[in-house]
Amino acid sequence: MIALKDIHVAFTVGDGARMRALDGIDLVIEDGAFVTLIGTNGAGKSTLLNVLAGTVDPTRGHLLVDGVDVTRTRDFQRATWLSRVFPDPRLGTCDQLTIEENLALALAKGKRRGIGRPLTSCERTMLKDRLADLGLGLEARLSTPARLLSSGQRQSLTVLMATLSQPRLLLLDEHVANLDPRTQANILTVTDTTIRRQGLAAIMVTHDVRHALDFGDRLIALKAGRIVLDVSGEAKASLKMADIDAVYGNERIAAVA
Amino acid sequence: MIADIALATPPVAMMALGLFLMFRVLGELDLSVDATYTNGAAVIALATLSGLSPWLGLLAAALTGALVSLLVFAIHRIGRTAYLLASLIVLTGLYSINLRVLGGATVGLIGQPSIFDSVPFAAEWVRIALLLAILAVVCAALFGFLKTAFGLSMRASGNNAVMARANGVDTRKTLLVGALLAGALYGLGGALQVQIQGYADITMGIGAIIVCVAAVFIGELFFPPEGRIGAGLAGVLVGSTLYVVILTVALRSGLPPTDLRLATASILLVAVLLSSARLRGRHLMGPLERVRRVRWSLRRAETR
Repeated sequence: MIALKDIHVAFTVGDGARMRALDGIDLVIEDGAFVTLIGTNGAGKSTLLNVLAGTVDPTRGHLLVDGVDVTRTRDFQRATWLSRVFPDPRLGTCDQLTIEENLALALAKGKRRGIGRPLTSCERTMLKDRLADLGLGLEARLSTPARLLSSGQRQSLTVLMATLSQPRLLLLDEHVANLDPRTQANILTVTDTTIRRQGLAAIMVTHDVRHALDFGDRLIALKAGRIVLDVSGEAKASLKMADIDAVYGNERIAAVA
Repeated sequence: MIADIALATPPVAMMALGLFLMFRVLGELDLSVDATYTNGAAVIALATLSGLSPWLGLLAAALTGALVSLLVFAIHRIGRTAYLLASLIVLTGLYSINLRVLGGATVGLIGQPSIFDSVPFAAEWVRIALLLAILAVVCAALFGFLKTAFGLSMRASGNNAVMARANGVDTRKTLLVGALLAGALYGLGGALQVQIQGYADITMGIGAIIVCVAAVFIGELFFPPEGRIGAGLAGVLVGSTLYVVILTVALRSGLPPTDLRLATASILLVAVLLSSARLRGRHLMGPLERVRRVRWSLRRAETR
């Protein structure tokens, strides 16, 4: 269970004024909960994810994992329980490293990286199986540098890398935003299947309200650094586009297909 | 002339390997090599003069080289300065310290024991073989290291720090370890040069950074920077050799030694121009580029 307690984040902007990016967020994410997170630009979605990932320090408040305060741990230390997929497919993989080397890096998350081989042959077989599940034929191209993959392939690979280590929380930061609609659908399906099969807790940030309604079992909407909508279960399933519009008023949230 | 080239190349290659590690693997330009190279020379000179075995002298030069890098890293981390700036500060200060260690501008080691005493006979090819053997051992060790789990996390830190940290890699640690290794290699380079020429000189390291960068760039003309470690290291070796070849030929054909640095700058300029031309897709290297492309498409066909 991941808990955010009264999280505040304020930035000093150019003219010395304080901008409240997050204004008192209280949130509990149960194990296995698949949360979709929406909000207008500047609502605080990215800041919330950054607070969880440890790349932004909250000005106030605490982050608890199973009751243990981890607010002050560094981003790389959080890799033991957290995985992240970035909006830019190029960010999630090392372009100069091969598919196998990228996977080996992700597999070693939270373990000591010594002067042994990065992969055992047993691990390599396991990785090939997982790659085959993606259905992209990448299992036959282990020694191909990630640079030669398409954006869609790279993002699929990143999703696989992020879920290899069975994280306590998976952060998906607009991870299909930069892809064509067909690839978006493929990667969303792979993401959803993986999250369900492994029973992961996940937060998926999206600009596409359709995706937020179709996926996940809980929907959270942010506005000006506060949670303005938090529905789960039955209520989430029966949520309509109009309900979302009602929350944001005339401030239309995103381009909706 | 070939013997001269074979003798002059290993020290250049040694320090160029260090710079490759910092500049190409970890993505930090490290200027400290100028002073660390001289420092390695000063340390081995001091060690042999005080009766230490020259092999221990090599070890001491490597260790103090690593220590210099530790200082650069400390300034970089504690002072939150760019690595480049930290290395510039250390490079400047270390010059004076090197002068103190040497106790003068030049220290001759004629008649002192050298690593070449370890081999049974003193023919020139034996000296060359010993130097090449040392270089081969260092290269193999570096290759093996970069292929390990830790080495992989180091390459990831330089390639994509965001991704590396998201996957639990402490990028400060990988930079520190890389810097220590690079410092040791710079020091070893200087120490080997002293063994070859028989004296240590305060001006030895001046321009070493340019020599290293030139070697790396020349190497990349033949082995493009694509992330393959074997090719990267081979590139450094080829680049160092070609750099020495070009300079030796220039000096032999009447280039006054005072114009040496102009020649070095010209070599680097040409290498940089060729490499940016290749990046823009123009093939100044014509035939070579075609060979590379064919090889590449063959490799792709294999993996299909």
